[in-house]
Amino acid sequence: MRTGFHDRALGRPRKGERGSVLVMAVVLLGALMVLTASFLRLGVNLSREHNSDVDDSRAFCIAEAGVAEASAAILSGRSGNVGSQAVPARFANGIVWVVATDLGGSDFQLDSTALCDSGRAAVRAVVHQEFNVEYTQGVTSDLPLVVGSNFMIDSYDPAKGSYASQPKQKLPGHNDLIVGTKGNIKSNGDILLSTNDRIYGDANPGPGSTVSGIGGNTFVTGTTTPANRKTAFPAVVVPVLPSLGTKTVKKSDSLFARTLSAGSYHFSSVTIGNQASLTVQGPATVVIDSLTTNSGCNLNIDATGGPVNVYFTGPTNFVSNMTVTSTAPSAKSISLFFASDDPVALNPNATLLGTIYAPTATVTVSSNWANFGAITAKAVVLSSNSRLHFDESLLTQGRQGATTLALREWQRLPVPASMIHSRVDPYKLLGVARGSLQNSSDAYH
Amino acid sequence: MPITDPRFALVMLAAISPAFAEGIAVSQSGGPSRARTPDAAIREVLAGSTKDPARPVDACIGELASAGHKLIPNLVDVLASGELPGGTQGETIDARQEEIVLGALERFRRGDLKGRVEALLDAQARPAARRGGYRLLGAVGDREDLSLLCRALRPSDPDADPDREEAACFRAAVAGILKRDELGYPLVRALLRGEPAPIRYYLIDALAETGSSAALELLGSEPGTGPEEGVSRMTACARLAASVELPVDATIPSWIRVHLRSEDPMEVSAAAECLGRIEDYESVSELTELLGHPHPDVGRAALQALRTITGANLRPDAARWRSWVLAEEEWFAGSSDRIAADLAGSSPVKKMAAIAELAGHPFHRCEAARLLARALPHETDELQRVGCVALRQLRASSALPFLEACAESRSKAVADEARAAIETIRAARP
Repeated sequence: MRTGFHDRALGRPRKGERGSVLVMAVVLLGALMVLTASFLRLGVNLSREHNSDVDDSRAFCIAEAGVAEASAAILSGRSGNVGSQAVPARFANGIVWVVATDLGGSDFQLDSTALCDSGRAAVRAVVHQEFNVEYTQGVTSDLPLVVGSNFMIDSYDPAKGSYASQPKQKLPGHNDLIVGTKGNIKSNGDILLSTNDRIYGDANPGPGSTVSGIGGNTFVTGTTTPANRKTAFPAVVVPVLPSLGTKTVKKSDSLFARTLSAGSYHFSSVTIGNQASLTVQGPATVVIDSLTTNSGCNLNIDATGGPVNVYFTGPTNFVSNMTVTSTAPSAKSISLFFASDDPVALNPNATLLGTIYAPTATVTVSSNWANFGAITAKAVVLSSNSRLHFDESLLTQGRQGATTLALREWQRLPVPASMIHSRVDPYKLLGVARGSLQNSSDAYH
Repeated sequence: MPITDPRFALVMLAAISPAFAEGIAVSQSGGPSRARTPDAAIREVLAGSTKDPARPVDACIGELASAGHKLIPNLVDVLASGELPGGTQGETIDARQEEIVLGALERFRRGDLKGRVEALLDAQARPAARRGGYRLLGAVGDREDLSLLCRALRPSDPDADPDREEAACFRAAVAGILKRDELGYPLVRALLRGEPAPIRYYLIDALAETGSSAALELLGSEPGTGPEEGVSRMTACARLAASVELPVDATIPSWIRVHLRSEDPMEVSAAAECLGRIEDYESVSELTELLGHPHPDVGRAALQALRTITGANLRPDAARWRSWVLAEEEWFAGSSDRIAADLAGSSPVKKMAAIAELAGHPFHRCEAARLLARALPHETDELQRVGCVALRQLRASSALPFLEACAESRSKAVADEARAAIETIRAARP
């Protein structure tokens, strides 16, 4: 007997039900395919997003590298621009360009934009250019150092009081009353000592050079070993300031007119008249293109309120019967920079607590010029009977003589919309040929 | 003690005459029956200080000062001559001994020194004695001495400048007197009008050292006799502004703002610096315009001032500053009433939200400080603590009195947070 039940039990579909499993299977397969496609799509999207994130990170790193390149460009004396949007520079897998804007006061704004595959990034940094000179010696000369007879150099620490107020000692076998024995002198060439020169410190000539003249009353208490490498003499970076024209100081001027209060000044010429006195109060930066002094005049530098930096960019004339005085907590507070090649003759009666830096000039120091600090110049001529007291606090100042940049501000910038919306290959986007671009380090301009 | 008792008469005499009292003290302490001369007493102390360098200077000063007024003429003589008393001529005193003599004289009152200091400041006196005279007046002098100090500083040659070392002592002396006696400022105003330029120059310097808003008002309001004097005055104002107590009187910034329109960039720069330090909100728009000044010092000072006043750290971009200030003004106009109501309401959640919102708007930190100081004293410790955090974030110096009160709170968390806020705000001042 054949019944419907029997047919179903045997797995035989009834006549109207044939093919329904196939339909269900097809539907199921379809659903599975849609699901797979969705997951695939999701995976692709995630992968794309991930890649985009990676590309953005790469672009960000390249933009940062652009800032570093621009900084290097500024330090090498260029404008800080690297490539341009029309002709960008190549860096790693991406491209970059930096637009530098001189904000004045040694500040530069660097806008760096970078593209790497689909990644885009832009950053802005404001950097401040600083000029540091390292003073590790009382006297440093690029050319051979010529020392007149009866010269004496020692050292002292201003943290313990003024040089005059500090207890003096005699080293065994020597007659001078001195404070410290870090009065070093150095040259990139030979050091030529004369009769009765006393160096309470090291005298290091340049590589392969020598110290001559030692013997009798001429001695060096430290080493005379030649230096392993030459000392760098970076060029003076003169601050860019609008010129205030000429300044003439007369004796009859009021004390106010004869004082430069704290601030930044640039004079095309400064003339200090007969018996007149000019005072510079710190913190101050003074750029003088030409200095003329007259009989019996005074130049007072008061750095008790802050550091004073004076930049002489042209001829300087210090008459012998003028007086230069300074008030400062240490030699770190007063710096005289000579940026021109004109010879500098330090003849006046002076008690300068400060540093002198003249990388391209010859500085002649007379016996009337008492310096509590350091002198660094292309050539230094120390006259007979001159004295120098190296300020040990200078040993803790700044970095190796160089121009440095300090980061003042940093921020991420929005990338131009045209570049954000089109995430195509950067070369295609900017219409530049891959092989035609320079490396970023070659694209300074 | 009955008045018929002989000891009563002794007590009365001792009360009337300090010298008699000293005599009694010596006899009671079993000291030498024959009194030493003042010169001998001074010599003993000064010579002893050299023999025993380990003995503190203060102990020597105390010994001389306790000997009483009778030593004053002799101490002044020692300072004037620079020699040890009561010995052979030519025994000069060293720096430590001079310090002891000066220290002892500083322990007396100005009235006790009457007529003596003038001798030290005489034009013929030795330089160290003159410097000592200035120092002495700086320590014990009163406003009547301001003219004396000016007279003393005037060099005999009218064309010459005062000695710079003496001028430094003069500055310290004038500042010392003015710090003790605020009534001296009107006298200084008169001196600034009448004294010659070199004296005015050092008077201005002295005012800059007083740390007083009265000095700031004086320097800002007095017109100088020339453009260079204006620069000096503004530079002094900028120095002074770093140490005056905030907020200053509202008239002071209005005097200083005039100098923002000067032709001298240094004067403008110093005025901007000063206004920043005294946190003058009214000058924000003028300072914003100065961001593009051709002299870099002016732009830099204006930016620094704007950052100090507003608490915002924007770039030197005038348009950006203007829009930011406008946005802050709009926010305050639209939200201040709601925030005040929330702070006065009963919902702690709304209060917390209001404090958080205030903390995000540094431009109106004075108003924020006022609102919080009014609302928080009676609130829970947690709300007070959060209020202190907000004020710390805002660096609202006008909130210092409120924070100082919070620092005394019984809640350790509130007190700690208040102290941290005070420290942050004080450290933010230049």
